[in-house]
Amino acid sequence: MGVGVVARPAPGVELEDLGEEVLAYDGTTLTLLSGAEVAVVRAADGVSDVLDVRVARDLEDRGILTLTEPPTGERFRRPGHVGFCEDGDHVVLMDLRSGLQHVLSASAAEVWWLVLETGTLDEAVATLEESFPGEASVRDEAEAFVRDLVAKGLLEPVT
Amino acid sequence: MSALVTAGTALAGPDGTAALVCGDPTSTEAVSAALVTRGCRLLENGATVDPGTLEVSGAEVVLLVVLTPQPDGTAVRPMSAGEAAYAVGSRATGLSEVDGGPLPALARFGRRVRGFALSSADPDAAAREVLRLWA
Repeated sequence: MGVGVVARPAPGVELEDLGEEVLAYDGTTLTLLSGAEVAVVRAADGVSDVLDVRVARDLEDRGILTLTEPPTGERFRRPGHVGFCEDGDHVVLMDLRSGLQHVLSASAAEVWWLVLETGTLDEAVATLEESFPGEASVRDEAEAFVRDLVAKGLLEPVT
Repeated sequence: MSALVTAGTALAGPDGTAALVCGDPTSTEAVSAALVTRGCRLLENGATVDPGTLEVSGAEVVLLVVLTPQPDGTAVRPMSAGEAAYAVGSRATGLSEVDGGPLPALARFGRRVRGFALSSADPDAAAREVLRLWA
């Protein structure tokens, strides 16, 4: 793995962004990350290419990140200007540029989570098809939903 | 609510706010004693901080001082939010049991509490510096 590596927090690791620094906690050890480490963990969304592999590998060795090959297919991520919070089984997305809120229903929120967690539409659809066998329209509906979010600036493709 | 159990000493000032002093144990004890002789009230050793309100015994923590021994002179350096949060969290016990999770509590602490690294050979000089920072 030297080119085209993606990162995400290692299982059980939580991150807290404090501006110039990030705190990482794995349930036992607290770590303060600074400098180049901050940029790497901020981009550790499982879909964005790691720009500083040396730093990312060091964080992997310290148990903070997991590095993998990029997922195949179209990749998507939450743009930096989009905040979110959970409200029961709904998700509220906030466009921090415009202040507009978008409330996702339970089913829409499920698709949104899956796209973010898997990083790709294909994998999200595959998971949905396992959950709803025989529903022929799952792919079309999920694709249309993702395209709509992209058009509204609430999701962005990773190129 | 499970509190943030620190390794620091909390003292209340005349205005009712609290300072959390931690770091080298010998320095912490000496500087805390010097602060008490200057009118501060000892609240708790091994202070338990409410993770929501950041209060110790009803007094809101507004100042964190991390002490390190120094052969001579006194030096002060402001800490970043991350440094302050880490200074408290890395010295805390039972971190995983903090209500709401340790990271939100530590982040709240780092953002709201002014933190300073204070190096001094003289506990009295260090106490004067703490009071100056607290004012």
